[in-house]
Amino acid sequence: MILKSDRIADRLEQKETSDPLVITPQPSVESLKKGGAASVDLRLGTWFVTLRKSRKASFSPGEEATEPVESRLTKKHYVPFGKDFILHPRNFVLGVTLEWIRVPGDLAGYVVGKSSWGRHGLVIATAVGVHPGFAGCLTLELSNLGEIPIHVKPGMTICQLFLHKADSSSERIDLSRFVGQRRPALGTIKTDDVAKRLGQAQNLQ
Amino acid sequence: MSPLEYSQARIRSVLEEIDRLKDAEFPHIHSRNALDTLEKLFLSRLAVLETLSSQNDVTVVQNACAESLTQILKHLPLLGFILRSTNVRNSFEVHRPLLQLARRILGQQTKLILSSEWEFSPFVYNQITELPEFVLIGLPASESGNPLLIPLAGHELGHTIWSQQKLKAKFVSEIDKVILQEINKRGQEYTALFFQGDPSDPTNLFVLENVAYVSGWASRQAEEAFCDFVGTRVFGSAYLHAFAYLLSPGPHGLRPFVYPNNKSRARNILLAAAKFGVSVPVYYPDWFIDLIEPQIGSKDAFLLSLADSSMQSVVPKLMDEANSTINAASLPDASEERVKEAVEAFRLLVPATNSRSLATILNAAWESYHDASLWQDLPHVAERRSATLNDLVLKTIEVLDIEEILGGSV
Repeated sequence: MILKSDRIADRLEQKETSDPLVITPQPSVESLKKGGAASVDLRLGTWFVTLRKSRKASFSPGEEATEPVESRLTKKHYVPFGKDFILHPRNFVLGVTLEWIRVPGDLAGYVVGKSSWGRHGLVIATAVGVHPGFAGCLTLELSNLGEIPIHVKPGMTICQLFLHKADSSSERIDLSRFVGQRRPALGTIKTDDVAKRLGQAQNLQ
Repeated sequence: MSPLEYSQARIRSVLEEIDRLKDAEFPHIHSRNALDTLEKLFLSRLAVLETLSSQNDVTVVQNACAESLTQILKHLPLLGFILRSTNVRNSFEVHRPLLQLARRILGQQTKLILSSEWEFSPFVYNQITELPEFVLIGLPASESGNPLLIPLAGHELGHTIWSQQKLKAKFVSEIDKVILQEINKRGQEYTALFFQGDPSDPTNLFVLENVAYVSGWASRQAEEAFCDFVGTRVFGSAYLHAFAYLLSPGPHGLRPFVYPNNKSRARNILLAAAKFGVSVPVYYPDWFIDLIEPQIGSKDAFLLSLADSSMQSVVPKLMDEANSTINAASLPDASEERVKEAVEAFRLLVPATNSRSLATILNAAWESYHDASLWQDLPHVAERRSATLNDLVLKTIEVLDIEEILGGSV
């Protein structure tokens, strides 16, 4: 069941619980109550990460184990309020939400770009699921699919967060795996045992 | 080629370097402003050198060349400092809140460059005459992303206050008076060491020369003590913790004459803390070891003891001066209640809101840092405890900035 914005507002106002929903800086609770939408708008933060195209020939999953890919492959940029980051056509950059979000154990969510930006060619998030227990700023994948450069500005509304109830039969879940950071992160692509064994299938011949 | 041509080439190289530095990504405009000012300075030096030739008087040419070299020696490290202010290792979110704090104390014209140093001790560039309105604060490069050390900027602000309010002139006569009194009190010892006639004779020039010598050391010590008091008054316990983090127990080495030794410095910080109502760790002075007193002759040892005692005699007045300066700035204090709220927010893994001051945030940060039970029930968070706390603290500082912008106080 998706929470409508008045329900999101109610959850934001519940301060006395040990497992609250928190969005900081907090959007206007009054506007959320009146809004009637099924999501809450989020803003663009001040940190960006670009890829260092000239540092590595390619990226291959699993190499995180042998070398620190994040620092070799990416460059961080800080863009203060009042300044722009120019995203050129067919460029890709990681951004981050201005809001730090804490999702309680009984909620989950997903992030969707705003259609007004999409119509200008700016794709904001391709696969941002927000797990129960997440705490941090959400990394956004910004890509300009349009024909002309786009100025993105920290503080502007960039995406929307949908929240829904998360049901579980487990009494206790370790929620701390999803604690994030204030800056965008490339993250690691984990190869599990199945993928490893399938990858070694050639040796079986 | 001649020294004049070499000098012109050197200045042109500096100007080219400034031009390259301008291409850096400046997160804050003040670094760029400083570059513009330095560019004007070197352009004017080049203009002077270009008016000269081998036809001019040799002394005039040599003086102009020497002056241009002096300017390069003075300002090249500063260019490096400005470049490092653009490095993403720095805590950029701190800039505006710290600037607001500095402006409340030093005036609205104040500009701030927050950078990193390849010296371990935080450093402030004092008395850059060409950049009078600038406060330049550098935290050690290895720690410049650590928000827990921001309280040390309070010490560095103290140096700017000392210089801007001409506090040396205010305290030096008091220090000189105490040095003279001490010489008179220890007259026999003095006479035995220096054989300079009656030390109580106010016209004894030998005595006055020694007083001036000692006064130089004592006033530098007084400045350092004053800066510690400013840091303690502005940031409370957080200053003490940051100071201990950076310097305890103290390195090996010889004690410089212009600093009080570590233990007495810590004791003075405790005195200030008591006066300002700041809570302190009980065994604080025991966390520090003294630097080795230099192997000096009995004359210098006597003079150093005069410097130490004369500085110590003005400590109460230095504390009063720090207190009144910060009171006049009407900074929002770190109330216990707000600190508690921020600590609770960090425990819940969210940034604090309505903190109202850097002092609140940084005291909460240190309280959380010392809380051994923090996030123990969240093993994945506990694994990267320090990084998570840093992120939460810096995000809280950004939230403070947003609240100040939206509240109209910026």
